Order: sequence, then C-alpha cells, then structure tokens
Amino acid sequence: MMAENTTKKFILEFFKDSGINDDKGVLTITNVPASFEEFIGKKSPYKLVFDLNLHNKIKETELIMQGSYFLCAIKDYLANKGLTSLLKLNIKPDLNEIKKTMCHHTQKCVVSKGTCFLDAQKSNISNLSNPKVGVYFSDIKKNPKLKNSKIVEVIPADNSFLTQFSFLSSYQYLNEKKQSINKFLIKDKEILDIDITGFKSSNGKKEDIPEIDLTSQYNLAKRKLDINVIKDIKPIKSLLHTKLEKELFRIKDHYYKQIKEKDDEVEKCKLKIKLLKSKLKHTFYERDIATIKRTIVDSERRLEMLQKRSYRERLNSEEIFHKNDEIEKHVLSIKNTLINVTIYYYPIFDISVMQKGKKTILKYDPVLKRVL
Amino acid sequence: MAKTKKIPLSEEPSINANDKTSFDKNLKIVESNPDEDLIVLNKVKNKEFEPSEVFNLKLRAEEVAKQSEIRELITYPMIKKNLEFNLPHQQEGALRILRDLDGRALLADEVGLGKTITAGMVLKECIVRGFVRRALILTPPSLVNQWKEELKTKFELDFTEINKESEWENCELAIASLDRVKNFNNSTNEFKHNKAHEIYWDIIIIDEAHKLKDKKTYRWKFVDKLQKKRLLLLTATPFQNNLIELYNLLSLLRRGHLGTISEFRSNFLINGNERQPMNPRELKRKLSEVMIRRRRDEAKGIHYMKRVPNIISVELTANEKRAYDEVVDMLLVHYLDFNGEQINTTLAAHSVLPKITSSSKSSIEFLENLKNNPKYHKSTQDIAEDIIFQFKNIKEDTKVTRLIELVNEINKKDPKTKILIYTKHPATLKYVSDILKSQKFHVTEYQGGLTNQEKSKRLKEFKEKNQILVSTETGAEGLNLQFCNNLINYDLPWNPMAVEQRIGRLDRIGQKKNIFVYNLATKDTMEEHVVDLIINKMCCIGLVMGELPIILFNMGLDSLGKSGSSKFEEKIMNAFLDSKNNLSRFSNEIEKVGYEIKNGIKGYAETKNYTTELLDI
Repeated sequence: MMAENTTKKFILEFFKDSGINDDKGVLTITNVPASFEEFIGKKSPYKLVFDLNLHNKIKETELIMQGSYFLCAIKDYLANKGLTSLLKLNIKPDLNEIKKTMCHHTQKCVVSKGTCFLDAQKSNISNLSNPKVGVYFSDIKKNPKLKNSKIVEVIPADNSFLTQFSFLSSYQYLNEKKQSINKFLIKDKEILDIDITGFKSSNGKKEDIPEIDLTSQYNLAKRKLDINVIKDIKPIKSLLHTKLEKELFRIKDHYYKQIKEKDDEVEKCKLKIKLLKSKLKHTFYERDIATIKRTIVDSERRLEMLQKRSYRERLNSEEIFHKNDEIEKHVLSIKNTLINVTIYYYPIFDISVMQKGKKTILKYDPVLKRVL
Repeated sequence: MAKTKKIPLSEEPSINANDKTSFDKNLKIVESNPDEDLIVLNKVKNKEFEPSEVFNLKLRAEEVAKQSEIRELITYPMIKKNLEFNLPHQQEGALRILRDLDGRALLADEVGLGKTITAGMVLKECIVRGFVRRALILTPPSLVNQWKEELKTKFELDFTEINKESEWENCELAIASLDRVKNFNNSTNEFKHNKAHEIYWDIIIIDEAHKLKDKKTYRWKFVDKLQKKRLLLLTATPFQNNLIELYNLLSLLRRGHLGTISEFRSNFLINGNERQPMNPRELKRKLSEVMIRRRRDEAKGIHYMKRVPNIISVELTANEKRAYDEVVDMLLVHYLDFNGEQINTTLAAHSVLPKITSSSKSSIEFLENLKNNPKYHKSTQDIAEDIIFQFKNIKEDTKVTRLIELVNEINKKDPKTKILIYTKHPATLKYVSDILKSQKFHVTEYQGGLTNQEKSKRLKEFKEKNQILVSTETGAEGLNLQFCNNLINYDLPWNPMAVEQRIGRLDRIGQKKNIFVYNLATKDTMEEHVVDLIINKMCCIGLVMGELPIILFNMGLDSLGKSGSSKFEEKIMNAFLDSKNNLSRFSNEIEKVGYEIKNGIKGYAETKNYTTELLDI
C-alpha cells in the first residue's frame, strides 16, 4: 500500500501540468505533452490504476507498479531529461541572528562613521523576502580574526560557484540488480562534505555564470565515485566469488578426474600389452599364441585410438569453455552514468568590521561558513 | 579449494570503448561508463540548463521503479490478464528457477502443468528486470509457431524464427527448431548454424529436452557448444530408457554435477545396470539441486476431464456413393493437366481429398474450379462437369441429415448445452450453418479473416446467446471454449495434432464436464478408417493434453514431410494412394500405422512410469 501511494504521488507529480481526474482509484490523464505521447507510442487519455484487482475489473487501464511498462516508459522518458540544472541559492543575512549575536541590539549600537549595522543591513537587504535561512553571524563572530571586532556592514558581493555531479551506479549480477545514486559537491578542486539542502534555491540565470570547464572537477568526482563503487560492490564481490569458486572447482575437479580416468585407461592398456607380450614368450601352444597375438593387436588398436583422439587437448578445451561459461554467468556488470550536473551559485559577502578603530573588509562564504 | 588462475576468454562480449573489464581473481567485472557523460558536460559548457524540478522528478522515477531482490515476480500482474488461470505452481516454479537455481534448471513437471508458461514467466521477468537481452528458444519443429504465439499473446514478447544461418546476427529474441539448426556440414566439419555458437546468450530454453539424451548426437553437441548464462531444459520425462540419458542431460546443465560417467556408474547404478538406481535417495537429492518437478495431483486448481469419443457412421445413398467414387477415380486416374500429363497424385491427394470427404458442397466447389480452370485437360474438365451434374441431381445429403439428428439428440439431453462444430472448409461451414439455421438453431459462424473486434463479438454471442458455433480450425486457433463440452467434427483433419488443437479448445483448465467428441465418418470410405485411427486410437485414449505431440515427436512424426503436410498425414495419404481406393488394402495399411502408434504410446507410457518410479516415489 505504501509503495502504491508513493507511486501514485509520483505519477501525479509527473502529470501535474496535464489534466488529471481521479475517479475511485482510476486516474484519467488528459492533455499530455505530445513529446510523451510520441515517446510512449500512445495518445492520451491514459487510464491509470495502481491496484491489480481494479486493473482486472476495468478494461483498458494501465497498471502502474514496479516494473510495469508505463512506469518504465516514464523512467526512460526522463532518462535524457534533467541532465543539467542551474540553481541560485538565495542566501540572506538573518536579521534576527544579527540582532541577537552581534549588535546586542539596542539603540546604543551606533558604530563608527555613524552607520548602525542593523540599519545598514536593513537598507541593503530589506527587499529580501524570506530571511529564514541565512548567514549565521555567530559563526563569523567565532572567527579569531574578528576577535574584539564589530561588524559594521554586510554586503552581498561576487558570486561563488559549486558543482554537484550525480551518478547513477547500477550493479547487475546473476539475477540481481542493485543501484545507488552518488552525489558529489565540488568547489574548485575540493569535494565538499556539506549539506546545502537547507538553503532556499531558485532556478538561476545563465548570464550569472561565467564560462565553465568541468573536466577536472568531473575527473575528481569520478575518482571519488570509484572509491564509493568499490565499497558498494564489496559484499557483492564476496558473494559472487564464493559462488564462482565453487562452480569452477566443480568443473576443474570433473575434468581432472576425466583426464585421470583416460590416463589410467591408457596405462592399463599399455600394461596389458606388456603383460601379453611377456606371456607370449612363455606360451607354446599355437592356439594360445594366436589368441594372445590377436588380443595384443586389439589392445594396440585401442591404445592407438585413445591416444589419437588427443583426449587431453579436447578435455582441456572443454574445461576452459565451461569455466568461461561460469565466469560469464557470474560477471558483475557495473554501469556508472552521470545523470545530472547542477551548478549552484550564491553571493560571497563583503563584511566590514571595526577592529581597534580600524575598518577591515573581509570576504565571507556563507555556504562554507568560511572567511576567505 | 582449488588453486585458481585467470582464464583467458575466448569470446569477449561487445562493450563500449569506455568500458573496462577487470578480474578479481576469476571474477570478471565489466564496468561501463557510457559516452553520455560527455553529452552532459557539453551541455553545461554550452550553458544549456533545464529546470531542477525535472532532475528531482527523474530521481523519484528511479526510486519508484527501483527493483528489489527477486522475492516475487514483478511481471506477474502484467501477464496475469493474458493467462486463463492463476496456477500458483507456475509462479512458484519461475521464482525457484530465478532465485534458487540461478536460472539453470531442468523443469520436469508432468505434462499438462504448463511448463511453457513457467518458462515464459522466467523469460519475461528476466527481460523486464534487465538481466536478459539475448534469448534463444529451441523447440521441436511442430511447436515453433505455438511457442511464438504464446510468447506474443501471453507475455507480449516478439520472437523471430530463425531459418537461415544469416538470420542469427541481429536477432536478440530468437526461436528455432532444434532439428533444423543442429544440421552438421561434414565437408566443412562445422555446424551449419555455427553463428549461434558465436553469440553469448543470456538465456536458452529448450523444449522437449529429453531429445538431448544422447551425447553422441549432433543435437546434443549443438546445444553443448552454445555459450549461455542461463539454461532451462523442459521435459516431463528426463530419461527414457536408462539413467545415462539423465546423466547426459545434466551434463548440459552443470558439467560434473553427477561426477564423471565412471563415478556416476559406480555411485548410482547397481552393477552398472543403466536402468537400476543404486542410491535413489542420494540421486534425488542431487537432482533437486538442479531440477524442479511437480506432479499433477500436487498442483492446485487443475482437474482433468475425460474425453468421450463417439463415431457417428454416415451411410451414403447409392447416388452419393457413386458421385464420391467417381471423384476419387478421377483423382487417381484422370487427373490430367492441359497437356494431358498426369498431375502428381500425392499432391493432388493432399489438396483435394480433404475437400471431397468434407461435404458435397466443397466437392462441387472444387469441381467447379477445375471445370473452369484452363490448367486442366479437357477430358478431366468433362469428367468434372459430369460429376457436378450428378451431385446437383442428388436431392439428399446424408451427412448433413445425420448432423441435424445428432444435434437434436444432444439438445434433447440438455437444451442448454453448447455445441462446437468444426469443419476444415469455409464452403462447408456456410453450408452447414445455413442448414442448421433453417432448422431454427441459433448459430454463430466463426472463421479466419474476421477482425479481432468481430471475433470477440461472435464469441460473446456464442457464450451468452447462441447454442452452436460452427468454425473452421484456422478461425478458432487459440480460443478458450471450456464452457462448452460437445465437439462435433463434421470432417476430420488427417493430422492428429490438428485434431488435438480442436479438442484442446474445450479440454483445458477450467473445463468442468467430460468432453464429448462426436465424429461424422462416411461408411465404406477411407474416412471411416482414418477417423477410427485418429479418434479411437490416438486422441481419445486417456492421454493428457500435450502428451500426444510428445509421442509423435518421439516417433519423428510431428514435423512436416516433403509435401508440406505433417509426416503422419503423409503416411495416411500414401496409404490411400497405394491402396488405389481399395478399401480393404487401405484398412490394412491404416492398421499398420495404428500398430506403430500403439508402440509409440506404449514406449511413452513405459518411460513415464519409469520416470515416476524414480523421481516421484
């Protein structure tokens, strides 16, 4: 039921710009974009149900569930979409925070050059609508460089950029398939271990960003991905390894024994010929001699046949063939696909501070929470 | 543990240039990094961005569609609507094959439990989950089309039939007759279809796999050379005469599973006796590691009804008999082309005999065509004209009169009962239908060439309203008519497989009553003997649906002969031609065929008992 709800929510979101009518569990979807209709090869309206009984009861409905054609088609349709995004992080100084931590806000908070910090903030950012998530000035204050200083002004200045690479890794082996999504946030040449999901964001404008070459960042992300993949596949490898070794041992053992049996047969044959030949020397009756000679000829013919067929080569190549079959059967296929690159940008703040009567301007990165 | 070494691969699967193959000991790891990454990076470079909501939606799509471990068949709800019945053992079997046996198994369910469906479930699940891209199905020649049809209608999978060697290359879902592709070219010392061996198959399914009992045959060697990740062998009788056959079959599945042949002999056979297992419990245990076998009495939801045969003898009037004999005589003696040359009687017999034994209507239709066709000699056309004249002067039609009597008798016993009447020829269909309608019966006609919509409409009409359905066999292929239990063969195909197909419309899971199979047979004609052979000695002797094709397959009689008809049909036709319309000679010939079939059935029964003794007790 939970899976059904999740799937239904997803479908509602996917078709949110189309017409949706929910009638007793049957979603009728109309006005679907032509590109999707073309992709799926069927014109709307689509009648979608999420329950097998309902699907059996109502004709011409599409059953939506894990593995269903329609759901897979949506997944495939989206596969080549949403590959790149540009997001602006809407970071604003938190006025309340400022009030609480820096200004010890009273009317006395009038600093040099006659500008009240709070007033300055108000004038600079009063147009920002939602200052809920913002710069935590307590962090700024903790910075040793700012000891005994007073912030007099905070101004959003140049933009800073982050790149997020999202990879879909799928692992297929035997009759199993697992997948994981790895996201790496990179600034310059460093992979960051920070969470930016708390920041409000909106789709950015491409004019706001410079020319970008992501090759080195991509390579960095791939290196990190490799490390993660190694971790992911460790239990899979161990399982496959155990299974495969068992199978290879079976084959090796089988062919070892087969070759040995043939070798023994050859040896037996040789021994028999040798014994017969020695027996021949001590036999006097014509009839016995003829019989022994005939048996020797038969045995030699048998020996020749055994050796001629080069059983060793044949069995060895059979062994390799079957081992290869097992190796192929136990192959672990890893597919890593870059499914999205998102460029985030946000302002670096110029912070003016008064320290021992001297004004200094510091650059502050509100995402990294670092004075630069 | 054996000391291992890296094994060079003879055939690498084709992978992208960006792909890496590495080995961790013997474990092969193929890592593919699609070129699409570059496309993404270039998009950023060109400042082509999409709203982030699309990416979020994509992530959710991945999450929602993510497949878990195989605990259930995710495809079952998709195919359920196409299956007539929900038989739990089929799903359980498919799950066991995938989950516990890693897709390498001998599926040895008894006949009638739907091994094809179970195999189809495995196939569909593997394809949808993305494990299988290249699949090959090898079947007896007569079952290729049936498999194709079932895969299409029940599993929505389109398989391509392989006939020529060149067809292997671009075919991902392939089906072929094993007998056709196993041909070996002695001059090149290669299999003609050796391209099949160059492909790495994700799954191979082999139906009626008991034909792979002998490892010296090209059939066995062909299969053994196929490179495969998964292999499903389907047969109800994994061995027939001795246990070595079972050994050979399992060698295809897992080399060495039962040890070397010497070990097998010493561990499992009493004094090397190939029919006597020494340690049946241990053998069964070993088999259970690779084999699934269920008996009919274990399967829920399956009840088998009896087939009750009934031959309705039709005694022709003197006039009818004369007309009939004259057509036969014309066919055997005066069937000449426009040059006056005798037309190949074998081919003539195949195409014409069924028509003249069907009804006077189809006889006249044939003769009219002949009369007006310039490819026949004038003397033949004159004879045809004479016979037409005779037919037209015959006022009575004994066969159709007997049919009406029969329908009345059935109706009298149960006025609500449904009746299916089969004929081979559309002309006869129309004729019979019109006469029944004139007798105030409610009749639905069903033949090839109808649209799907029209077919559904007519079926509904028969199920809900009309008492009688008159159909040609091409029209009714694949229909489920288990709500009806009376079948009248107005005329009978001379191919027992076709008769099985007819009876199979009624004799299927869900049938609740015994099935009455009525057969009209014209007395003192060859038809009388053929009907007796096919109905009384083959189709209605208590075999389960699906067993007769196996018997004919075992006897090598299920494939097509030189004439294009089945080999069995050819046997009958040849008997007819050899007898030169001498009924007593024809009867003797048919008796011989009957004896041959009897032996085939006996051999099959012995095999079945032997299998049961060893595997089920």
